[in-house]
Amino acid sequence: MTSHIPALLLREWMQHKRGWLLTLALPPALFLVILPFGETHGMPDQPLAAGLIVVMATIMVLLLIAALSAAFQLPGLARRDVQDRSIEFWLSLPAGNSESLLATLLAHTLLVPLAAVVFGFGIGYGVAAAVVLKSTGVEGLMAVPWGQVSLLAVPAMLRIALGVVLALVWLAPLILLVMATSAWLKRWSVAAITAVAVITCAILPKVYGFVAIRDWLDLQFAGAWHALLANPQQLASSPAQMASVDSAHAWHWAVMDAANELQALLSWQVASGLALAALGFYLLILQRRRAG
Amino acid sequence: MNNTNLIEARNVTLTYGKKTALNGVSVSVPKGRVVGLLGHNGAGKTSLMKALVGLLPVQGDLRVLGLEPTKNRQQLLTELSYIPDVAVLPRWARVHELITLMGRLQPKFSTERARALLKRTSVGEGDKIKSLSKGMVAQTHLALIAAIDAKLMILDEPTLGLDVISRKSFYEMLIDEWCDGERSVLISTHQVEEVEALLSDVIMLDEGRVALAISLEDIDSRFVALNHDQAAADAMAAAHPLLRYREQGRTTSLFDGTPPEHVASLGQRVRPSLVDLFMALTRNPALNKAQA
Repeated sequence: MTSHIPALLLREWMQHKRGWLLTLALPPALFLVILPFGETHGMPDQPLAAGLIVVMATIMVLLLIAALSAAFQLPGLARRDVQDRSIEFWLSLPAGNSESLLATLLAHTLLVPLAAVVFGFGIGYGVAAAVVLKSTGVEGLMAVPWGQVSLLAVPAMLRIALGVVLALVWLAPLILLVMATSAWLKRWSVAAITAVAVITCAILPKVYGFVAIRDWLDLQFAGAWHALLANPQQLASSPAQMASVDSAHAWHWAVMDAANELQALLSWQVASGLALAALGFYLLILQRRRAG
Repeated sequence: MNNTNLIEARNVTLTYGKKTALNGVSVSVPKGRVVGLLGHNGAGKTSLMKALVGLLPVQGDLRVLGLEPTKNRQQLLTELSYIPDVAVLPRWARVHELITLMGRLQPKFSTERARALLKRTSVGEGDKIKSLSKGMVAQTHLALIAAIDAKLMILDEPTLGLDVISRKSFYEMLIDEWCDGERSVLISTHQVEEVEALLSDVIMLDEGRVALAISLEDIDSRFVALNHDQAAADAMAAAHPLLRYREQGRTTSLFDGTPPEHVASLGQRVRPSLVDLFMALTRNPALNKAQA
């Protein structure tokens, strides 16, 4: 049977495009508008480092905004179709429940953050140009070797993009269990999640000395963070060093950094997380079936 | 199993925990019929319809278009048109977006036909669902699912809560644009009087059981309604009619089968309406006895 995922992704785009475009376009637009009225401090002297740092910072800020936006939306997404009563319409179409859920997850947790990375990379040049112009004037702007910035920024951007995928593997159990809690407990889910967080991260370790769950969560978050960028200091530990980095070294760093993090996925920690993610996915499907 | 029947149910039972929603239901729907599914609230209409489209598992033998609904749900939903309830279209969507999505999710959906059907209504392709009245949403939904080249349409209370003009427009479009003598429609509704003229067959459910499954032609030959004056009331009551009710100042007694000859001569034979028959067969027997 043909996959309905592309059509369901189109549905996500139709429903959320306005919010996504605003989330990605508004912050850099606002930044560019207020920049002339502000001041810039701490910009490196090296033109290459100045350009590269602002491009990468733009990528990371937009990725962070996209991730936070997804984190706030995901619990609601678990109940979206039930709340607006359209669940019965979607269930009357041939798309399966797994496909529908997968499309929602793909769009919000993977494609939008990836779009943030790519968009941040593109708009990063504009932001970098504006910041350099503001801090060092036209002369400074003309001194930035934009071609060399790109040669270093492309492997770093691709490494971050792969990192988004890898980080998602680490965060999948948390995302899916939070969504499942929201789908099953509805308005009580916030209280339930807060209670679980307080019990597992504060009460159990402090009162009973039971730290296994807290440690497991710590490892998941640390894994996600490292998956995004494990060792950026190996590319360049200072702006001065950045000026001497060539493209071959940047690609080598990106490949090795990614390879290390891919290897880190082969662990019982990740396997246990994926088992919990599968449980969350199953609970979400079960609730969707019941909603029909 | 009769292969010419689009729906074939044999001894179908469906339970929710301890509550039995369908109890040994056996019905069949051949091609080219417009079948009304009548029943009080909680009689099992929606449960039967959900079972027919594979949303609820049942015990017994159930085939729709030759397929087992729960096992072949996705395939089945490509072969039939289904409206699960009134106004369940996603409120965020514009009509042209739904046309696009249906075109990608339903292999037998015709975009051109959907557009042609929408031209019969006052709904524009650029209209947002949330800006439409409930009646317009119902017509949009019908236009969308009538554009699926299917053999069977299942409608669960599609006009509930609509005003009389919207209901009339809905049924006009259904008969004009869908029913061609080959396709069948199964429609559940409480508005028995309004759909009576459209129906070729009727299935009456009472507390999960089939109270009657019959064609409208057979109703005329099987059930006899005698309109009589008060003087004949005792004789009529002694013949144990299914129901006695007042009509145009006189009493009508409804019999299943030909009444005794001496009773038949006391009244004038009239055509029993579907509502009267429905009342006679599905209301509480104790209440029926007391009122007779």
